[in-house]
Amino acid sequence: MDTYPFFQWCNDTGLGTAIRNVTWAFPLIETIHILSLTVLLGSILLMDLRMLGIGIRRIPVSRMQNQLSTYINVSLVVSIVTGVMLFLSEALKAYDNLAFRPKITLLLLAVIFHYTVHNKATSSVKPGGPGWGKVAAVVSLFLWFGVGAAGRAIGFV
Amino acid sequence: MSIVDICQMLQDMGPATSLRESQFMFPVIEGSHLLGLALMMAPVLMFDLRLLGVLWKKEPASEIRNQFMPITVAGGLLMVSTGVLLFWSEAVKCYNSTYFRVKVVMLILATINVIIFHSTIDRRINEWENDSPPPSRAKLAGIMSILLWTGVIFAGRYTAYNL
Repeated sequence: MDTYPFFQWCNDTGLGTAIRNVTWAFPLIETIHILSLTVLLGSILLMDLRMLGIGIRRIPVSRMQNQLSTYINVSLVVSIVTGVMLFLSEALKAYDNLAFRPKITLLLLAVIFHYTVHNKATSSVKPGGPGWGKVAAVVSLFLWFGVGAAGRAIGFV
Repeated sequence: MSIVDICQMLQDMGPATSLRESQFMFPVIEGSHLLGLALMMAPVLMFDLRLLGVLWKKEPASEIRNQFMPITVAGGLLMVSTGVLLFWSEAVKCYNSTYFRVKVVMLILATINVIIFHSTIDRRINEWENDSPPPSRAKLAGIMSILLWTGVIFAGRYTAYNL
């Protein structure tokens, strides 16, 4: 399937054009994107470290989820909204960028994994999470850091 | 010898030059600096929210501090080591960047906030850690921390734009 017309259409949207034409818009949106992903990645990282028993040992996994989930949900929404805005402003660059599609693929996998397997693990009544929680934590770390690394690579490749 | 001469001398050194010109190492170190933010700042934010009485209301403040601080220290070491390397490789650019100067000032203020907190109200944490809401000195430390570290991140990202 030829996706080029879709990327072209995104690039031509009013919002994309506006962000491209205003000097301060892209840096501001990208900085908000980074702030929100710091909260997102960091909160998930804390839950993963808890399940792995690294650093945090005395706070139950379910308590971590109870306290962190709102921050994860909100920062995910902010990251996606700002991410879509950044994408619209340079959709044709993204079309040619070797790191863009791997990032989106990893992001989809990470989000699906988070709201299914990961949430089930952190809902456990056991303070340290279920036996397979450590595996879920490692997979989660790899997926999210993969998203982060591929995202950063967009600016370099 | 002026500061800019020192910066020039620093970035002319062999390792700094190879890092700046490296296709692979520079992005990896910059990426680690960015991802290290999550490791360092998420536990800081959690403790700040505890100080503000927003999150972790059931846990004593010292418990949240003790559980989260080692992660912040690990993230902080990653941030400082990668940050020093990035500065070394682009010292003149940093010197000429207004945003970098703002970042350094913010970083110093954020560190002062940490030192004041740990040398004053944190020493008496056992006296107030179960109070709801937390004392205003604790809230002040939490809000200053959130504002100053957000400022550090903003100025840090803007340093790279050459605006």
